[in-house]
Amino acid sequence: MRCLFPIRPSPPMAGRARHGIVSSIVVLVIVVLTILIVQFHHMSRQSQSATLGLEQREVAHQMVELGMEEAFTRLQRETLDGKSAGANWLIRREARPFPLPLPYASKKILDLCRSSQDPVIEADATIVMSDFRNVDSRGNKYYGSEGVGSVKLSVRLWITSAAKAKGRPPYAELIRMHDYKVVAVRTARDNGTERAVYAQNFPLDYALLVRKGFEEFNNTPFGRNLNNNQARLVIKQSGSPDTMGKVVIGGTGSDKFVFLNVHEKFWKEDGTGLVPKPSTPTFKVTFDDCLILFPKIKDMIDQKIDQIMTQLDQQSSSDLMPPPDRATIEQQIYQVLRQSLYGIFTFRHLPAVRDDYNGPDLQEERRIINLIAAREDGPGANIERGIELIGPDLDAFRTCPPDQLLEGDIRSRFLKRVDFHMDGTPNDKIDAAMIEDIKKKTSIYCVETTVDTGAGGALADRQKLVEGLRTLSSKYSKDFFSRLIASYPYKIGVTESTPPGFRTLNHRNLAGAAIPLETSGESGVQPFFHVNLRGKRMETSDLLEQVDIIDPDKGTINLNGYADVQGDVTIGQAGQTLKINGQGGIFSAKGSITINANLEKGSDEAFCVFFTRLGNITVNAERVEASLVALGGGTGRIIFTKPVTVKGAVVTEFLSLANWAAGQHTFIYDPILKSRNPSTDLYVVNLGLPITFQRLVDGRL
Amino acid sequence: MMRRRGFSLIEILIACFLLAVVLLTLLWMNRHSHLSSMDAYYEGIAMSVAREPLEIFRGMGYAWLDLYRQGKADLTGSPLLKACPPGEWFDLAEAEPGLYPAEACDLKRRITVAPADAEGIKGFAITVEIAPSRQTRVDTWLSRDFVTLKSYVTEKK
Repeated sequence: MRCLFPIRPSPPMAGRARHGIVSSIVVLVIVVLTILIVQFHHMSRQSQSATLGLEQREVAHQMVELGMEEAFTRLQRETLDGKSAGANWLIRREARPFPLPLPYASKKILDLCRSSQDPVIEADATIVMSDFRNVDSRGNKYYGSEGVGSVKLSVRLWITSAAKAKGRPPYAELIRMHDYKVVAVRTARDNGTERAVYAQNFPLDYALLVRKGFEEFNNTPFGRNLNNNQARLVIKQSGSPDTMGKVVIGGTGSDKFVFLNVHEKFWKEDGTGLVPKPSTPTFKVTFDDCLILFPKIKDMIDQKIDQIMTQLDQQSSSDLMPPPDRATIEQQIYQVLRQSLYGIFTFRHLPAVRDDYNGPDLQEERRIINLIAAREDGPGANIERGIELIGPDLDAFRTCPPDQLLEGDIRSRFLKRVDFHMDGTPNDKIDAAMIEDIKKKTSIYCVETTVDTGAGGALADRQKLVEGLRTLSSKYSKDFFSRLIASYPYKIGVTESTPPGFRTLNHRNLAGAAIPLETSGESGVQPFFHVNLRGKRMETSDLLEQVDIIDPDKGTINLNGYADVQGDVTIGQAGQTLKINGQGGIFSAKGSITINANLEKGSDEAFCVFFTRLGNITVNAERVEASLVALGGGTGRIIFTKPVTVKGAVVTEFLSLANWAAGQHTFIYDPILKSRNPSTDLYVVNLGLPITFQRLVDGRL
Repeated sequence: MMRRRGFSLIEILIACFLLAVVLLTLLWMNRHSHLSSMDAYYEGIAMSVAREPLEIFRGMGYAWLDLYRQGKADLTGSPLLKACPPGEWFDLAEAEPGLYPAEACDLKRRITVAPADAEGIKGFAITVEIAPSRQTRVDTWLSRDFVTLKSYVTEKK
């Protein structure tokens, strides 16, 4: 068959050549085109593959992020409980990794991956040993296990469990580091010995510490910081020395003593109270000594002799006898009186303050006390009721040696009452009526203001009596004056001999040097000074709610270590009650603290410290189960505007009792604050939210 | 007579057919490659846009997310947060100018936060969906209707 459409005729050779060129060009174009398109296709596939890979990595990233979310949450929960395994692992800085279970993430990552995948995720934490610091910027060492370090969290993901089983490296691994802080919130202290190291939480050792107690005692009108009828303070303690806090009135010692007027409930007649029993309850003096005190007795006797002489004169004139010799009569009478009459001093130690001065004897006692006090000035003039350092009774002293409860020169003040009267044996040679008359007219309280009191009867002559008492005091080396005595330590069981005082222990400053409590400044006594160890720091008080330290909705204060607020701190509102959970404190760095809400412990182990170094603490609540510390700046005070019960430690520069609301204020020491054994030191761990380092490794198949 | 050489019709038809097959294949490959490339490109953009709120929300934390979920979170403070309204589609073209590249402005985003408590852990699941916002190149080239990314945030103290 012939071609109906022959190709255009051409020379045989030329046509073959052209045909060959066209074909070659066509083939070449097609080949080039094919190569380019295949290359383009390859690139697009690569691009698609890369995007898919990125997407897979993104999903893997979200999976390990999820694992990290849970890992951090789990570790943080461990740190919220200072006794948990995780917290102990951090406190002891153990080298082994701490495994963190991820049940939540293991379940939720199934939502993120394809159904054909069988992902496995695991996490652990490791302490970065080289990062740990246990000294502050000045080189002062922190207490015990305290310090700041880094913890590394690692989350690993395998897309298939088979890959993990075969020991393949994880598909993705996320590593993060967070700072953590370990701070001791309770440290061991034996009440009888000094601390060997500085512990910033040392205020918790004290049921009451008034650093400038002596200064305030002297400067406050009538020493009303310690003796005050209006604002009465009772410090309750009970149990063993292990559970009691110390009471320190600072600035005392070396004759700088403070006194507490003893109330009658601390007075026991047998001398087992705070007032000792007199060593010599009575003291007998001769008739001649009595004449020194009461020269008017001679007048009385002279009158009697005159009467006798008159009678004898009359009798002798009628009997025509010579008149009797007056000197002989007088000698005989005095001889009989010396044999028959004598003086008795009676010594009693009585409380300085009674609730009720009913009855003539007690009214007289009160009048005497008032008169004695009126002759004093400054604190000595104060005969108001002293604060009760050991509670409403003497039980604390009975279960704990006094010097393990009290520090400093704190003394009991009480009335030494000396009564005098004359007594005599019946004698037929002397007129009984005269003896009775003398006894009646010489009964006195032996105070220097005897005449003013009206006591002592007609025979008393103020000046002669006082001179006489001084003469007898010198003669017998015995004090025959009634006085308010403040030379006995505030303790039971003391005697009139050399009563021992209380020891004053040194404190430690940041550098660990032993210093007196009164030392101020940065090298002095500075509680809670390591700002590096504070868990949270914020500018204003309202941020406490944002970080859930105060939860007004739940009515809780949630603590884990110390939170620092730069300005003033206000806690709650009037009528509100907040429960305290956890252990730690809320500090005001530069301001004051006002507590409006009642505060209750959420559990026995919970405790909270409110601390201000430069400001004051004002409590407008009726119950505060928290410790209050206003110490370090030199001016701190704690003011209670209502009668209050505080359960915790109270530590302040000045007590300011005179500025408190009238009524009874009760401080109850919280035994949870006390530890004698270092093994029971209580640490809390603060795990920082900010990420200090992160590394994501992924795509390792 | 000299025989004139040429191609028969059959030969030409076969050649044309083969050429057509080759060219069509190349054309298909080219188009497919182009589609894949563009899909990957826009998918990458979509993934970036989806990842953004996850990172932000993880930083904001659980408590803030709880407020966000209830519509109580303050989103006015940041242009990025303004572009993350809860539970509704947000056209990224309406975001502050310059916040997103031009291609991303053809996308819209929806963020859903749902409680996801389990195993004693309180958490929120955050789901971010990305879709083309209008009939543009993105809509043409992006093969999937939605690009979805999900993550979780747990409660911390």
